[in-house]
Amino acid sequence: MSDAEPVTWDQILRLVSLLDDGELTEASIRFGDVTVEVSKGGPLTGSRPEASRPVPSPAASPAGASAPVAAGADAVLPSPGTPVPAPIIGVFYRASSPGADPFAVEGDDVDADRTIGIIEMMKMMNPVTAGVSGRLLGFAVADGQAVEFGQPLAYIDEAL
Amino acid sequence: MSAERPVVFVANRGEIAVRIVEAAHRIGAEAVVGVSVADRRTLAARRADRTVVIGPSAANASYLVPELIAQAAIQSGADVVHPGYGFLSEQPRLCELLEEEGIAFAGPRPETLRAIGDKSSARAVAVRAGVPVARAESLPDAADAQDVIRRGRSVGFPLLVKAVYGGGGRGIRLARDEDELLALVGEAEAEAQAAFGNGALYAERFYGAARHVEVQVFGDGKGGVQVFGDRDCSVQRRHQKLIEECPAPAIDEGRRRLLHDSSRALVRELGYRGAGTVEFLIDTRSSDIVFLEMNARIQVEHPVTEEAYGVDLVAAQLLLALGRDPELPDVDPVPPAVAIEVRVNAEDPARGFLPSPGRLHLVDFPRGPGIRVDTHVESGDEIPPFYDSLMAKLIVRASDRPHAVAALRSAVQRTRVDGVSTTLPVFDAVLDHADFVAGAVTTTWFGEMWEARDRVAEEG
Repeated sequence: MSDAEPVTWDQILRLVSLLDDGELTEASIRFGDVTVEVSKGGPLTGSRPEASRPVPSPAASPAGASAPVAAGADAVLPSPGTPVPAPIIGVFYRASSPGADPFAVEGDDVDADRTIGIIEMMKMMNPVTAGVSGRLLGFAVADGQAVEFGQPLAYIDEAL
Repeated sequence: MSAERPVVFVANRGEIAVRIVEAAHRIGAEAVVGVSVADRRTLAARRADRTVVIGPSAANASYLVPELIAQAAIQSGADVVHPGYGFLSEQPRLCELLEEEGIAFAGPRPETLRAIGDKSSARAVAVRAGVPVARAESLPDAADAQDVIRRGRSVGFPLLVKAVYGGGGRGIRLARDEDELLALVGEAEAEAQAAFGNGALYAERFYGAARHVEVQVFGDGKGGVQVFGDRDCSVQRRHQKLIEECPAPAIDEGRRRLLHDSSRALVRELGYRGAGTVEFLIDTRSSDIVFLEMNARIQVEHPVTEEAYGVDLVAAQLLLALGRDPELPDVDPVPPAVAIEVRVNAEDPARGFLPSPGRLHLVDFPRGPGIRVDTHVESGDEIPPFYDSLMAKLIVRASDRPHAVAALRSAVQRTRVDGVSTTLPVFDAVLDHADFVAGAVTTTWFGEMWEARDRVAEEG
């Protein structure tokens, strides 16, 4: 494993749970000289059998590699932060009304009780709070998108 | 509405969710299952075209919330919602929310659900339709002891105290005399308040030795009614059915006609839409027939009727809700075959039928002519602790009752379930018992038989 950190089961399981949450359909992550590739519901589009191989430059990627996260040393999965799960099924909105300022934008430092959006469920508005304090890394769903219970809506970096 | 491939939203879980997915596919529809967090990978979810997570695992925050179901149905682009049985199947609120959104409900209209959901009003409808009913009185507040006794006397003892808004056999208490009635009425009131949100009670004459016989009906919503024979569901434990069969054995032609004609009249009176069941008790001493209640939904035991007659009631519900012809034939009062079902529950009969959730290491059901299995589990699946214990229904069909009993006995013995305790051993005992083989046992028979067996085991 050279001098890099060894892969832990927790890290792999976290990757798998990201796929389960519907965020990604496939991902490749490199821990030192070990590359873990995971895919949901089929073979990896950019799949290569070797666990360890020369790192290609992005330009040299195979034409078929259309993975959301391309393989390679520079494609290490960014820390996704802590997900903000949908507290209820419904339609997610980032602002209180069309044209109004969004409750929160990427890069905002938020407190746990900060409202970052609302979910409309049968004409009832349910506020979505950040749940944890940190920096809002970004939203995982679009404004006006229908979401399921527990679906990640946004990610927050708690490491501040 | 998506005319080419309608979308069926399944608002239930367990085996009935699988059954509805299959029926949806059978009529060429797309099946979307609303699941709780615990149910995301169930057989119904695996068989569905899509799933939508409606809420957390606890049923009262997912399957029991009409707004969540309606929202999920809208988001799924559903044309029709099938509520299955239990959960919201008889809640007018879900039906209303859906119909406001232009989504069909595979069940009766909200006003029908109201009319028969409240047992005293169901009784009134039955009386109006000329259906025979047991003597009953509503009970006043427990504090008014004199009036409680007066009404108890008017009904006659023994009597049953029931919650007006109750259901599923829950919260029913027996009073053999005035003292017992007075002693239990306060607690029954509190329990009904807690369980059903309303403490209203009524007393109904209890028939100690009675059979539970029910009639399967299907209404077109305009007063047209089809009757699909009857079922005997007398093998029960604490009002929970264990074995059901179609047709009910040992019913003479006159009484069968009374059962069917009464049911037809009731359904016509209601302008009933879709599948329903009219339940009766037949007192074995007097041969009296009395109306018990009407269930405005598809029932757990519907497969015995389907197998005996060769029809698909769930597909018919979906077709009717979609405004299409339910494609149900007119049938004879007695079906051409006999079908019997056992309910395989994840319960431990050796420990007072304690629920036995857990991981199923192996599930193996028999196959063969006339065998049908309605289940939601395969090897490796889990029975979560959040919901009811029904794991599978094993149904056999044969040309007559003796052959059906023999086929079922063999099918039970060939069923293997490793990982949880099940009610299968119960059926070995019942299907071999001379009383059951003879037919026409009463609703208290199983409890007495099982207790006697336990006593023998303890002494032996």
